[in-house]
Amino acid sequence: MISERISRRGFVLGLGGAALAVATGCARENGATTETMGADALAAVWSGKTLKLICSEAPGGSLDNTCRMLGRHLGKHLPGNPTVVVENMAGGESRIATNHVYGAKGDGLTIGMTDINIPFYTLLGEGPELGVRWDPDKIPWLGSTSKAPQVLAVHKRTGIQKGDLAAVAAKNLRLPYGAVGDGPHTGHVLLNELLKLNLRPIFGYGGSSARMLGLDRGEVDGTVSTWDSLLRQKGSELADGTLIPMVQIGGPIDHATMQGVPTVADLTKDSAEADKNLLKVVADRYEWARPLMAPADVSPPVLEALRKALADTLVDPALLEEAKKIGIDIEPSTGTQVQERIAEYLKTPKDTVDRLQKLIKADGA
Amino acid sequence: MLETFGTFFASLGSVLSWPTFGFLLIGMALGFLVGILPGLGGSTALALMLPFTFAMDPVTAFAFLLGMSAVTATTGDLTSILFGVPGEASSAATVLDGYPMKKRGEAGRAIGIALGSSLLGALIGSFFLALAVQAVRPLVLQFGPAEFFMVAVLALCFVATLSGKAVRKGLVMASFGVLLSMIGQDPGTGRLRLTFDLPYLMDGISIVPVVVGLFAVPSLLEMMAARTSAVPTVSNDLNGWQQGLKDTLRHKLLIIRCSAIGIFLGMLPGVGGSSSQFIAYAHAKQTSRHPEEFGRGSVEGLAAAGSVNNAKEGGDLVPTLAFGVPGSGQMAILLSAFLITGLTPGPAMLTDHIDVTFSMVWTMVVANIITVILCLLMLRWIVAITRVKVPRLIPFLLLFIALGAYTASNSWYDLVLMLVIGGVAMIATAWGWPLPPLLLGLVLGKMLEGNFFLAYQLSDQTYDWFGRPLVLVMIVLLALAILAPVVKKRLFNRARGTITEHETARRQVRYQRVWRGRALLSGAALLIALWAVWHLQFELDLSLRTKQFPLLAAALMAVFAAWQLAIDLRGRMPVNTMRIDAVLAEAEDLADRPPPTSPSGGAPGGASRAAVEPLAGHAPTATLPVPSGDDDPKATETAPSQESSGPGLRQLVTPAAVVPFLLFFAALYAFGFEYGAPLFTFAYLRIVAKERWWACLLGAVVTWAFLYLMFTKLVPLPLLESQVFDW
Repeated sequence: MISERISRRGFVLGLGGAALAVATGCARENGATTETMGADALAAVWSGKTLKLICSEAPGGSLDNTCRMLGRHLGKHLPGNPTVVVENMAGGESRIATNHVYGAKGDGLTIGMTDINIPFYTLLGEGPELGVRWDPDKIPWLGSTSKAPQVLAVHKRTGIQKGDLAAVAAKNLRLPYGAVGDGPHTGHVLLNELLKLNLRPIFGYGGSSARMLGLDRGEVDGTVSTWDSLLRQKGSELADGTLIPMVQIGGPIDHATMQGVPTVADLTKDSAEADKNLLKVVADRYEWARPLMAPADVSPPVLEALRKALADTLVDPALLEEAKKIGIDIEPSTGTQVQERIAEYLKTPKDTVDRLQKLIKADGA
Repeated sequence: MLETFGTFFASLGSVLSWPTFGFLLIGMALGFLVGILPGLGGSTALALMLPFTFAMDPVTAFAFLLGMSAVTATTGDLTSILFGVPGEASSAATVLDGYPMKKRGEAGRAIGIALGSSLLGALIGSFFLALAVQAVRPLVLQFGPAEFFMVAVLALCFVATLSGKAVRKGLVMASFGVLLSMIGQDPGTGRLRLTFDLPYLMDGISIVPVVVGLFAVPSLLEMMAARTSAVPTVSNDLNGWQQGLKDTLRHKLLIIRCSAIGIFLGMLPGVGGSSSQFIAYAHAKQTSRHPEEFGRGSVEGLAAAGSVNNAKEGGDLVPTLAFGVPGSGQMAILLSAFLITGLTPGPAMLTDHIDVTFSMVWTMVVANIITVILCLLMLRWIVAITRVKVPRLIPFLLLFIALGAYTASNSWYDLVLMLVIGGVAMIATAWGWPLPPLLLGLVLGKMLEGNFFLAYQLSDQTYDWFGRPLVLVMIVLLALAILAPVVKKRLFNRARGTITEHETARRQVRYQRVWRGRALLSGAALLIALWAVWHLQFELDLSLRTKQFPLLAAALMAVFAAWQLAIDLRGRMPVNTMRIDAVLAEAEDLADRPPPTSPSGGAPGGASRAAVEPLAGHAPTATLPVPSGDDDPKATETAPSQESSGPGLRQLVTPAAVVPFLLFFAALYAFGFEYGAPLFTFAYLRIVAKERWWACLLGAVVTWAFLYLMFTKLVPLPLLESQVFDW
């Protein structure tokens, strides 16, 4: 870190190198950490300080909203009650933010909310050259705020009845997606493969609201969407039967309109092991949606304090009330849970990953 | 219907509620300042203030931004009247009659007319927006990807057409803008192109650093080069505004007609503020019983000019809200505010978010009413602001620019992008290349590509969608758009009878020699375009779909650039680029009056340029103390006659401007915002502005306090930290 920063010194016009090195060295002196910390020492970590919560998405999205909401409540659950500031560091599909937090100083003053796909990139074999400069197993996870099961819903104008998956299979339904291989499209590929459906993707719909607009205009016949965004944007259509939920990936979702809607796991319980693995590589990720991480070199007591504060924040009634108001789903997992699940996920057999990649590519072509 | 009515009035409540109303007032205060300073314009101000909306809810954010832009249109008129210097490009026509009135001692009356007509225009525009939103509701779901593709094509064509005489250059700039917009992911496959493995580029070029670079960087450098008061002093005869308000009411029918023109042209994407102002002005003269007074202090002329630019805001917002198509540069920036606040422009603005839409209407109404009242109350104070010595403002303006760009994605690269674009903008402006097409290309590029492929997929990989009824309608409109300039010229000519001959005489083709070095820019454009073609086609392994649009943009850019290059290499150009629009030519006394010089008598050339040009938000324009008759792109063509003999670029790139400018960014890099900016403020005030020690210290403390209060306390946003020291 030090040498990297110093090497950039060359850009600065006419500053004395020696003076710089001294100043830089001095600045580094006071960052001491210890392995065990008493309550006072922990409070000193945050007291009167500002904690940066790096958000891996641009302002406005639901991940950003979750971050900002968390930022409003996290401070009061941490020893020393720091000010929490949310910093948006969007880009590179969460790679930029993850790299930043992973390499930041582990002084407890930088944490980040990143994406469910972080371990997936590693499974895909992506390395530093593709911007993956972390080891997902070594990320100190703090927990996650939500779960993100996906739902296939079709419009009633297709004439398909609730529960009639055979009718879905018989039709060549058109569904809107952002880009090849994004979250919903991966779910779509899984449905086609495991349930032998013939869903047809239309790519190029920007965000989830653009996809819903395509549905409103009658350009497409349904959607595969994350449950909470489907509920937020099309809640009334789900309730009045304009949109019919057909199957859930992940879940099961506890909601009136989802009663009796099968999960892919239900439908494939007698399938081959390879198929079940395929489902796992897609759907297991939904269990750690909106995960929070600390820098790699965070000290154990600080990590524990952060995990505890996050867990406390996510059951704070004030936060839950706010979440309800702005339509954010809170279904927390603890840091240890996320850590274990991701370690397990990383053991996914290589052939399963290859199969998924091939399917996505073929469907996108 | 009744429910809508309820929502409509409930929205007034939300605009007037706290803290929304507070932010509206802050926005207005900033707009006030920006409108008055000829160095900064509405779009610059919007671009700079955009990041402050990150932590706001939509109603508050738009109250803040619209409050600001509503004010600039009005206060820009004030400087036009008082100094003959339009504070805004869209206040150029106000000079024609406002300034002569002031010269004959009727400044107060003129201000009364300008304020009164601005208010009326704004009210008409706002309520039209409220009604139009209802009317276009059923239409909106008819607009699918095919239609939006055509809308984007249409908008792009308007821009090219409106580059005026610099059409070729405008086309190069527009295709360059489209090419820039292609950086990042292909909107369908998610494949990356033109990112050079920089994670910063993976999500594409963000618009804010580009806007700041295009418009604010050259203006600031110019102010720094001039180093003197931005505007000349004037007498302060400010009484008589009551008479002005009465005049306004006397001409209310004219104001309604001109407002209608403003609204209509505002709705057409790409029709600039100044061109609508001149069309309305021409109309006013055409229908006047005293056309001979126009240009000599006509009440009607001033009322027409005053109303149209405010009414236009309402019209501008219609396509922005309903289709996500920006009607102007300001709207393009406003569009990014939608994304920041998590709203998608389009049908949802008329259904789910109708309250936000209505709150915009009310924001404009409330802001305009308050503006007029405040202007009248603070008339004397307003005049004082314009006399602040420019060097005192520079450090703060630099900080604003840097913050504006940096907060786009909180990356040092944002600043780098802004500086690069700023450099391009300066050379381009100096050599008569229009800038707005680049911006519009950047905004519309993704819209073109995304909707094209969606429409293509949705009609089962065919081109059947070109037969959709609305698409056909727009193809017809497109044809009309291409013919529009011809029609517009007719309109001018009819209005201007005699002057036309005068202008025709000027247009006798005579050539003058110009520096062949201008070929550098067209040559560079050609090289970039060719390189992009080669890179996309041969260096990257991309599917046709991913490279198709960037290749198209690069190829078109190459063709236009080559054409321009051929002309530049000839090294001569027609003298008639001295063209000043017919309307303006009549204001002969304007052309005759001596160029305004600064009271402190600083560098004459630089001072008068800085004083004269409606800088902000648009390219610096005419080099004569006469605002250009049309959109700035055309006007930039007036530069050559002077610039060929020397100044232009050399006026911007002086050591006095460039050295401190670059040192400022070096200071940010070395010390971060929190320490770098106050440090620079102190040094600049001391060394360049030659202020007293305590004043310099005060400036530094104010800078630091502003950063601290704004970004740590009020709107928490983390600032760039030192890239050298690890403190």
